[in-house]
Amino acid sequence: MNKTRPSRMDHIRLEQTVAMHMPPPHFKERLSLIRSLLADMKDKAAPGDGPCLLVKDLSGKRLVRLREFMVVGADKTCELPLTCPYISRRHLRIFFKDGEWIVLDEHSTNGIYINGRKAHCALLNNGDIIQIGTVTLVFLTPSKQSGQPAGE
Amino acid sequence: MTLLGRLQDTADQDAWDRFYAFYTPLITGYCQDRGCNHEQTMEVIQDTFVCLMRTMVDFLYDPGRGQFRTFLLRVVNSRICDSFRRWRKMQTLLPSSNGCPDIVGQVEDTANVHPALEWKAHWKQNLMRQALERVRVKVHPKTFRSFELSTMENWSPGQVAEALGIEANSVYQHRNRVARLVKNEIRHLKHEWEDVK
Repeated sequence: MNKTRPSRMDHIRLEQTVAMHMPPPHFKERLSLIRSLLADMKDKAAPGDGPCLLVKDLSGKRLVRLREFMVVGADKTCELPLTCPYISRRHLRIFFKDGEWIVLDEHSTNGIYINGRKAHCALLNNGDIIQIGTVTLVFLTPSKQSGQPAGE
Repeated sequence: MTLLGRLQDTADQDAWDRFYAFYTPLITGYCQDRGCNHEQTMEVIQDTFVCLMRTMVDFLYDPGRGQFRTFLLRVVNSRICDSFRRWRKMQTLLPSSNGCPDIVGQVEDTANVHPALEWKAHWKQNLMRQALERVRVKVHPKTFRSFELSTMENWSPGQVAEALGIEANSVYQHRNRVARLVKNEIRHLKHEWEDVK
């Protein structure tokens, strides 16, 4: 028998599906988390606002405009002070270098988790989730490029 | 209201889930063809979705100005360029970081790439794939298998009939029935993601 007979269904083009390496299930959950965090912050999360951090802690949610160099920690002298458990006095720093936003662990006791993975240092991508203690930080950039930092 | 219209509401989980289910395979396939590795592909998808979550609030779809998928292609292309730029910098900025594969020299070759054509091809493939998946759960497994063998694998009706233990006439019926359902699903999908009426 002839197995290579051409199909008569020329009106439906059936192409061989290329095996794709699809994102894992937890990736969708991460996007859903960001969406839910943004859901009731439409006005504040307008595009073009510049790079910012969406901060979710015990006191609620807020957007914090990023500066060129910011230290996040429990100490009140930090640019972004957070009063939550499991956060070191100087927990991490976020800074802008060569057009990229970088997060660096300041030798904190409990470390930082970026998109669920423990990390010491990382280049930030729009939508990256930084977990420190019980606080969730979402890095957001404007719709175009990484954006410039706010003035000091 | 169409699904595109519902995306204006960031809290509409169902619309966003369906959007994710429909567009993620499309963006994934396109990114892979453009030379992105798995990590980069996820970055592009994340960046694209977060961008849309923030822009769709004010998005007013006007079919007269172009299709949504064309707008999405611009967003994705921009994100792919960003991703390659970031990964090139990653090694210079974070030379000691782990999990940072050497991609220097793996710059996407844009000389023979026609993004719009590639995107269109992926769009059609994605429509077909999703339509087939929708039909697969609507018909008897043997009916769908009969369609698969006779159209996608080009078996003759006699071979399919013999393999599945059915009459040759049934093979024709199954094939035509499933083809009709697939065409309907494609029409529905196009309406969901291209139209606003």
